[in-house]
Amino acid sequence: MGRTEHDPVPAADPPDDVLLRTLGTDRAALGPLYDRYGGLVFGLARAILQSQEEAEDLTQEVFVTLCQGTTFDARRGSLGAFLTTLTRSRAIDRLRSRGRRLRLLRASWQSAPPPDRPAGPADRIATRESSARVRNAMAELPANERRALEMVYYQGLTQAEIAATLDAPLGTVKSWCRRGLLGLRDALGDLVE
Amino acid sequence: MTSPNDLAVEYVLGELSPEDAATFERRVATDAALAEEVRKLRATLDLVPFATVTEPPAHLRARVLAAGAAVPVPARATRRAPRRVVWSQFAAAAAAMLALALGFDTYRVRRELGLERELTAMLQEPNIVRSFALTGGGAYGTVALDLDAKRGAVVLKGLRALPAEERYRLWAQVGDKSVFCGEFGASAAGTITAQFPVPVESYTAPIAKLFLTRESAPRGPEPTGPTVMESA
Repeated sequence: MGRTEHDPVPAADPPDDVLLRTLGTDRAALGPLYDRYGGLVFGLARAILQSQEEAEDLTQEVFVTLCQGTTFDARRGSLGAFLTTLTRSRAIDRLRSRGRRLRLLRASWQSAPPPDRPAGPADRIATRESSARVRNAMAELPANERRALEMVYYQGLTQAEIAATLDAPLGTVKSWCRRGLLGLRDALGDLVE
Repeated sequence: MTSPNDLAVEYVLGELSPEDAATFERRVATDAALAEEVRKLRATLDLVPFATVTEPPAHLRARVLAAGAAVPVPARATRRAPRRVVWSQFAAAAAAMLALALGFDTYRVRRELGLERELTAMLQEPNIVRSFALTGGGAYGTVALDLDAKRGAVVLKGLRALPAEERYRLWAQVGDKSVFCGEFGASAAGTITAQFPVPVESYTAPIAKLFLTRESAPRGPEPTGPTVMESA
């Protein structure tokens, strides 16, 4: 919850790279960066870790990493993509280090939880629009395809591990993953052009 | 036989073995349509996390900003200055950066997770580090230099195992000379995982790059064999 109606979004906030450079010498730049990407980092962390508390811890860790000086290079990709990669990498690592077993996953894994609330106005950039589009596109996929893709993305599982977890033939899982990814690509074609 | 487009899906999902992935990458390099298909599939997968964007709890903002404010601002920040990073955090950031440089795909994220764990396991304490991502001929990895403790760590993968008479040597290009960092053999799996001392006194200028050579001759002041990997 970065901003309220008492704290309107300025017409033109500095771009990410300017904020990041500023962050190197002035930690006040962290506020706008958090307001931009807090929802993306927190939501992804929670989807992977399935824990509000751990997601909060990881969100803090990711933004502290930004303050410590990262090797982020804007020429190589967006800050959103960098943060997503960092969050996912660390979250899956945490998941593994806490020793969650596939057996437990089979019992508990349903689907990534829907957010309690949709993203608020704090999540700006393309995040808000993309979020609604992607959420809808995921929801339109057949349940098996969606679940298989989510297990690949949020759990970092291989198709063989998914097959073992769901007790489904590997060929079937491969087919779910392929159809799911192609279905998403068709639905989100304009976002990936 | 699997179709190229099915292979593209498997590749983007990280399902191909390193050998099959390398073969596929060579094919992609010469097939523009297939390269475009891979790009779109990867971009699609990168959109998945946007489905989970969630308004964080209100208290988290103040907590994150306080934690950020507690990180000391370096006295003088220059582009080439070493940064104070905790090793484990450095490793995660390095892994993410590698993934970025290589295109965010699942296959590589999975590899980088492994790199991160290995680097973290080797060097645990907070310190000042500089990191270099090295690539070349399908091999990849990270070298971290701790200029305070005068030591470095290297994790490289996808290298060719060498005949007994050959060794890999890591060098730093400093000004117009090469500084020897270490000599290693790759495991049968093509991996180098090692620590090495860093002769800080030899670094009379900023490090321009690190590179790995394959050498058969006894070690001299300069590399004589071919360069097989180098930092960007």
